[in-house]
Amino acid sequence: MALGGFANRVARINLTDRSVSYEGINEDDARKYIGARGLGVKYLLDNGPETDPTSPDNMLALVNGPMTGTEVTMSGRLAFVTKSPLTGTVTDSHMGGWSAARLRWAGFDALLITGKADSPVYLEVEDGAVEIKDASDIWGKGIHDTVAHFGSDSGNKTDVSVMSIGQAGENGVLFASFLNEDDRAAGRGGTGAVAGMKNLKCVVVRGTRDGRWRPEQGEARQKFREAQGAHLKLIMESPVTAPSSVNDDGTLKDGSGALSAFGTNVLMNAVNSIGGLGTKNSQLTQTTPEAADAVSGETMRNEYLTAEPTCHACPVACKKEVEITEGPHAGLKMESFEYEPAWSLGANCGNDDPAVIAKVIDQCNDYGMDAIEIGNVISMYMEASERGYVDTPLDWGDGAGMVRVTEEMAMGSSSIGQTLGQGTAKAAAAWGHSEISMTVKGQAVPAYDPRGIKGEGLGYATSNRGACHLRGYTPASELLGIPVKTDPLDWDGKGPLLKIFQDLHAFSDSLDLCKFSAFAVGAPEYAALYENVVGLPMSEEDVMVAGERIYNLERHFNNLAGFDGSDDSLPERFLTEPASGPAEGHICELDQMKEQYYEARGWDDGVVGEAKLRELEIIS
Amino acid sequence: MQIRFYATLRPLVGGRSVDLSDPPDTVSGILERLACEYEGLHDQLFDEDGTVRRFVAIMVDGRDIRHIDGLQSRVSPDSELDIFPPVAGGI
Repeated sequence: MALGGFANRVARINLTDRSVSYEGINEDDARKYIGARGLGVKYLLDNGPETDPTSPDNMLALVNGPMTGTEVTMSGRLAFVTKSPLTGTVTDSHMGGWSAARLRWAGFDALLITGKADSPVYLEVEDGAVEIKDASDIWGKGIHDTVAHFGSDSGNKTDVSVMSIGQAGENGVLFASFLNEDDRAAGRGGTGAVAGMKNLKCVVVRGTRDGRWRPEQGEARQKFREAQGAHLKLIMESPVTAPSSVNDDGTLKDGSGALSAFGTNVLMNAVNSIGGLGTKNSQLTQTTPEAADAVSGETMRNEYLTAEPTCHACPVACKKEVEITEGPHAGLKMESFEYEPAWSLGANCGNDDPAVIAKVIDQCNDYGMDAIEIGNVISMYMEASERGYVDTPLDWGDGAGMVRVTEEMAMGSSSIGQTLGQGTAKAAAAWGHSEISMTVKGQAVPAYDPRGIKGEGLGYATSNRGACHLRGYTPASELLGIPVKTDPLDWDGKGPLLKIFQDLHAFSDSLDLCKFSAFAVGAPEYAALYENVVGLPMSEEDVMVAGERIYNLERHFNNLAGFDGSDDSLPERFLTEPASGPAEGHICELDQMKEQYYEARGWDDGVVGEAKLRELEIIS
Repeated sequence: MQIRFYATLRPLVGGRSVDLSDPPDTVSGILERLACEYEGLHDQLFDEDGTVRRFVAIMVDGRDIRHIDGLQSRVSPDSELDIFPPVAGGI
């Protein structure tokens, strides 16, 4: 194999007969689909898009990109790719931390897991080998205990990483997730549910930097350093991503980037200010400034911050560790008080108590559940309660009730918990009220209301993995102004704009670099890094074509699985119930945006035609 | 008039918000008053040529002034102003 960056080693693990075989990377696939997300989807397509996601035949693919574990800034990401039991679509969910790098240092580009073990197992990965081991003594444990069991509870201070499911994945919660290092989640799409169905508890990886890829000495290394240096410089100097630092008195120094200083949750006040913050299950699009600020990144930094850990090769350190010091959750130390769950469990549930949000996020990180979905399923339950649809009601802002029902979902310990554990869409349907389910293709919406930030409405509808903000992050344009400022209340032009974001992110997710790199760098920097790691020519235009190819590959998978344009929809609420606050009177003009979007994509009613598949070399 | 500040701007004005009595009727006028009163604020909001820095967001009643009339956007005594440095996130 001539391609740089790759280990050129993939393990196929069949849990049914407990066999492991090894192979190299298919070079043609690596050229076309880059790595991580793109390559993972190709493995899933080859495994069969009609596979029942709950069957042993479904594949769970852990796939690195060619950058993973290198010196490239923000290269600590790993893609979990599978057919989602929540949505029925292909899905990829990425985690940060150190597991991705250690998997690469242990000698692997990918682990492809199929079958179902007849008893609980875990995988141990070290020095280019995978062993299937008995997990009976850790089955039933939470993720925090599992991580501690293998001595991986101190982040980057060990050579061991544990990627684990918790009780939720074991108990069939359809939005169960994987986490590593206690708090870094591959959160969306039910990757943990697939593992639970396979009796797979965790993947333990041992690897040191000695195993990392480095360019050859001489000109190659010099060129790599130039490309990496330019990439790093832009990240360090961006007003968004510049690392933060503090003065002796604890105040932030000039030049500290807000993402670094306050974490992702610095968005809370900004999105609320424009009327794009879904409130009480999106019945409103704005909460009070006081309620938003009470759970914002600013408040968390000023009143609760204890540490600022980071991922492999990242100077931004957007992770914020906080400690709750008062009330029933006093003593709780947790990480990942991110914008998304702060919204889903905050304004969306009529809750402005940061301690409750911290507690439920930590439950999600221990039981292994998607913290976006759980906030939505609880808010849907609260609205059902308000409208008298359920016998055991839960009031808006009932923090103790939120904590209780989260445990009941993970453990399946009550009837209501079992119903909600199937996800927002299925639970609402079970009560005969799908109209209060804020979901697309069975997955709950993130923290940007499509009436106040219209590009995201189109993004949710056309996402290949169900409602998702990360497939095409139009708020970069609609809120911030990257690459240009567009009006969040204007629908015109959002179709072509979204396509650019979707294609660019598909490429960076396949390298696999952190999405936040896109706040500072773009296609030219990605191309230069690719050329100097992989060793193949890559222009700015090539980046966008490769991203388009990957996005179409996913769409093709979904088409073969039975999805078409009718599934590119939004909850009726966003289309007919006008917004409140600054976006008052606005709905999301989805049909108009979809028309522009399909035209830009060259799709016929959400379906990739044969000509487009040939044009993009997906078929020959 | 109450003007709310966020993130790295809060230390510059000493809190979450500033109350401005007898406020000017344009965003430009208000920012001039604020810049005189709070050291360091001007440099955080404006480039050397006097234009608002890229990615700084100034909202009047929830609308970014880039979609109204820029610095000449009109404000009334009961308007709400929110001023953000470059903020992004989203996971």
